[in-house]
Amino acid sequence: MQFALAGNPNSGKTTLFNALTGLRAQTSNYPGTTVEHRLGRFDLDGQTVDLLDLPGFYDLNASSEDERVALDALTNGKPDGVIVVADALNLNRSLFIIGQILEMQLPVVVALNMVDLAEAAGVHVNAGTLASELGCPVVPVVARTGRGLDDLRIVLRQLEVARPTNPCGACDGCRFQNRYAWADGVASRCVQAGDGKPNIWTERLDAWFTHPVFGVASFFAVMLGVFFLIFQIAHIPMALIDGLFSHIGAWISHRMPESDLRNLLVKGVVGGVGGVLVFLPQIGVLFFCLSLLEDTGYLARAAFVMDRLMRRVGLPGKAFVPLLSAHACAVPAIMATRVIEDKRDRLVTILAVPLISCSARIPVYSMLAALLFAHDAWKASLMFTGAYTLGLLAAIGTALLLKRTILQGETRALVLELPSYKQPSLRTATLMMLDRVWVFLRKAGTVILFISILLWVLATYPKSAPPAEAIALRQRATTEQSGALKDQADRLVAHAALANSVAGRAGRWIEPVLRPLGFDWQIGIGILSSFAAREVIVSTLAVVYGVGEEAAERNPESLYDSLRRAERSDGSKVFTTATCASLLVFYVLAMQCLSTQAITRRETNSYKWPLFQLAYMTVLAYTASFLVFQTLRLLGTA
Amino acid sequence: MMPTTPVHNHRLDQLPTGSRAVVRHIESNDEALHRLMAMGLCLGREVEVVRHGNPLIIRFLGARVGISGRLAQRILVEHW
Repeated sequence: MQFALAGNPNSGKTTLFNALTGLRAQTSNYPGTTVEHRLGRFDLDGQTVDLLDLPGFYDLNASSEDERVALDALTNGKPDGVIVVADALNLNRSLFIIGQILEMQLPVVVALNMVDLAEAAGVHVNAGTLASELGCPVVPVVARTGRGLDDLRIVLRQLEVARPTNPCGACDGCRFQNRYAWADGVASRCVQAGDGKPNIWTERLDAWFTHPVFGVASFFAVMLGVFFLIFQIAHIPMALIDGLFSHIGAWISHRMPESDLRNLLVKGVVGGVGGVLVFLPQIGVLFFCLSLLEDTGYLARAAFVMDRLMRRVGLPGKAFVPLLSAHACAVPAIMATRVIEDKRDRLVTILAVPLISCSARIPVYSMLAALLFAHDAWKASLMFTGAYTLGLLAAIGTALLLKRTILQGETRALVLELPSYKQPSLRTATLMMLDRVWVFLRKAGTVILFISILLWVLATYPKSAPPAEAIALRQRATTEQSGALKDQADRLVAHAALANSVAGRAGRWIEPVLRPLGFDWQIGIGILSSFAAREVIVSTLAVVYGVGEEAAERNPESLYDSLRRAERSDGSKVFTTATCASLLVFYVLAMQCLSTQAITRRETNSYKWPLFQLAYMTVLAYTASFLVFQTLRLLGTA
Repeated sequence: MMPTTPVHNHRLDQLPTGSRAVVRHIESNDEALHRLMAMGLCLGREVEVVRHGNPLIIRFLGARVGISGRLAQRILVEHW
């Protein structure tokens, strides 16, 4: 048995879905579209029933992708019944779609939601009268508290095709006007209106939150709070995950003899799984907060006040949340673009978001700041600010350019319901968080893990014999019982192994391409190995320049020192001001994040857009680094 | 309450905050206007301007809706 759940946006549809199905729900894309739908299950007299959560809609006219999906699921999906969620405070609008669904000759039940809020506002809906008007059962419920759900389940057992007493028959003239005339008629016979006073709290809060100045200021304050949570709270589980996985790695290293299998397990598998899981806290915190903000009704206000500012960039107000979240991480930011209704606007946002400086860029910026301005905190801060500004400008520029070229079209005009403020549901927020985390794990996690292992293979094979120098050092280390000498020998072995691997050879192979940017083959290895995750360049450079990964982690200064001393074959320094600046610009603008690509693939449902993303960001990064290096070289800082 | 002597036809974006009016004509037919009509902003309906500006907030059928100024321009209302 399958039931479909339909309703207006803001009718409490999601809350009802969660109340009925709980954790037993799965999110996937509706076949052939990027519209998500959720499929849940619940028991009805021992029988398992599937519940399909349709996208919220105001009309069933197939004018948007959401509406097409809902219409298709109702007409071609042939559900055994439809639960239409109606807002007791706004019955006329709900009747507009109820009327359309009744005409489809499907078994229908109306779940009259939020009757508690309606009663508080003095609005009384006579469910019995409404049921006989519509010719289908009407069950008053409060999805948030679970009131009335048992009655709803009882009704679901014997659902029949609805037989309205006065069918709408809105087929000629203005279909909106006629159908609303019908809805008004039905409502007038079932609803005892309250005093008609609008919600006073909503009025007061809106005076502030939708104000052109205070509203924007409040929005920034709220987002600042969300960031604080992402950085401060997500930081704790992220550190735990990091610690746990390095412990597992150390444990395996300890238990297993040195072998390729051990290395694969430690570096490829454990490292790869850790690299996937470390995203989960940020995704979780962001979506938990966004769900709470949306549930209270605040997010609609934020989109409203930001609309005017964002429109200048050619994006709708709703694009602001992803653009801001991207400063923490592009992956949850791209997942958050789902709130943008227009497909083109959403795509532009997805393509612009990875240019914004995320937290994974911080280790790279820190390294370069140490190389460029070791003893000048002010200049280092200015460099950080410059890098963030460059990323933001590049993102805005990309959005403007895309809107004028391949994704042309006027930004979709704002039509946004501002629902009454209400208490958010922690249950909805928790389920939302788990849902997003699960989607990421299922859809992006596997790809990331696979590529992590592939990159490990490329950096390990073909194997090479340890260099003679290292063998000699090892012998001296054994005779002299010197741990320091042994470490030095290990570093030499690691360096030689990487240099002779496919990745090392590829680094040399692409050196001619990278030379105009001021990079040598060793930086080339760093760029290739950090293709999946940009922060990896720091540990790769540590291996390439013979500092050793662990030593560099314990004491970053040891890495910076040896980078400062590093020389090219002609005896000149590698990390000159020009090279560092060029590398900085490259890492601000280059893709270098497989997780972003994997989630773009999932959110756009195509390989075309992640490939496009990779291509234009690479071209952009290359060109900008080229200009920076060549300009600085002419000025004499190479 | 219907007025006995309608004053003028205005564009919805011209009305100041707090004014009430009746929808008389909705120009052109784009997706966003259809959405508004599906939400209940059809001919003959009363609408109130809650916050003038661009975008602006209007109220009809008991709900507040934020809309772009360029949509409001295409909605002609009778204001008194």
